[in-house]
Amino acid sequence: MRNRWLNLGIMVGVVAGASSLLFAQGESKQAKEKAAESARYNAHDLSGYWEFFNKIPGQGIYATPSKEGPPGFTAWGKAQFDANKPSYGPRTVPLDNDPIQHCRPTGIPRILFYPQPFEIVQDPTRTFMFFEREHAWRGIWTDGRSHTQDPDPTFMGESIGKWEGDTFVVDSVGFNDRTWLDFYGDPRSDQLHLIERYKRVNATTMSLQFTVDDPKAYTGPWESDTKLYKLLSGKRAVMDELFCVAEDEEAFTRRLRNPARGITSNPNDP
Amino acid sequence: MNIRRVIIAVAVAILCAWGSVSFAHHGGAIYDTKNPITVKGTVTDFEWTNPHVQIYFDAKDDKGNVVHWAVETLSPGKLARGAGWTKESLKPGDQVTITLNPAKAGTPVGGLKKVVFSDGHVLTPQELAPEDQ
Repeated sequence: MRNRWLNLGIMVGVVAGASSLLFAQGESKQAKEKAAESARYNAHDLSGYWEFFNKIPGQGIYATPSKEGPPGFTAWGKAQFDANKPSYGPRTVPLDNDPIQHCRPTGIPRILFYPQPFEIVQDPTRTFMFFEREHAWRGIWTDGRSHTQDPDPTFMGESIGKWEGDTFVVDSVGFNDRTWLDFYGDPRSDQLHLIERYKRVNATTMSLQFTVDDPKAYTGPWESDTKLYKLLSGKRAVMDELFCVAEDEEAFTRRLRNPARGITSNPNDP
Repeated sequence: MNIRRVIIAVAVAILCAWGSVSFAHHGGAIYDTKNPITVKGTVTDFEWTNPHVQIYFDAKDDKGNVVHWAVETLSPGKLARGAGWTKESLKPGDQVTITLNPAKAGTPVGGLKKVVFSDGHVLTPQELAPEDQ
């Protein structure tokens, strides 16, 4: 009897020892993999072709900053929102007036979570983002300058970037109100102050979280969820010449977009 | 086979089975993504252009009348990068069997799910992230 307990004790000891050894090996393997992963990229190197894909684990919602929606509209924001008729999302209507279907620039931040790639090129004094969509680009100053006084309102805004640890923070102002903030018809005013935070998650993934601070349109700041971008490599690291060509948009609308909605003409069409 | 490969294989299988295509402009609001149909016909036009690649084809309905179908899919860049399409992928006269999500409006328009050619080869507008391929 005593031997049996002794044997049992030894067995338990052996199993516990073996499992802790395995666990330690697992931990050590994880640490090694993590170290190897870090060695594969430089956290401050964001260069390359990045693409937003809908179906990757952990991806934020497509088409709008966050599924919770804006914190609340101001009177101006509500009037804009009501006037905007989207062709995507919960308020989809057949007779939409989405400005991008008329080749108006998509603008920042909407173009950032479009499911088409952009290339980041880093220069010591400036970081560039080249977008497949519309063949558009933006420059982000990284030479320590401040925003200009009362910049002219533009579709892409005036952007200044700096590193905070391993996060590239982009501060933008100088936007116009001639395009939408997202696919859902949420508005964007000339008071928009946008803060984007980019971070490399691993060798092939970059994350973006941004804050929409637009007191003319919203009653408070709107925090986005985390958008993820995959680094394209090999033959996939290419971009199409995706200009918005009015005739192509019109032909698509006439031949397919309108018939798909069961309408023969849309008064909002060009 | 390590666990990572198993996870990737399962993810690819799920995505292939799912087979749904996201459209930049429309999503599922315009098309009935729950009830896809399959139509056999002859390609009349292939528009390899933005904003969306379009396939036009003629097919006969139950009464033998010719119906002019229009099907849209992703942009050329998406199809070329992620699914191996080219501007030569389809041409007028091709005999095709097309699976599509039909327009809720009831018109002969759809969102593409799959093209099967007469020689058996298949094209899909799969939009897989790089790590899934």
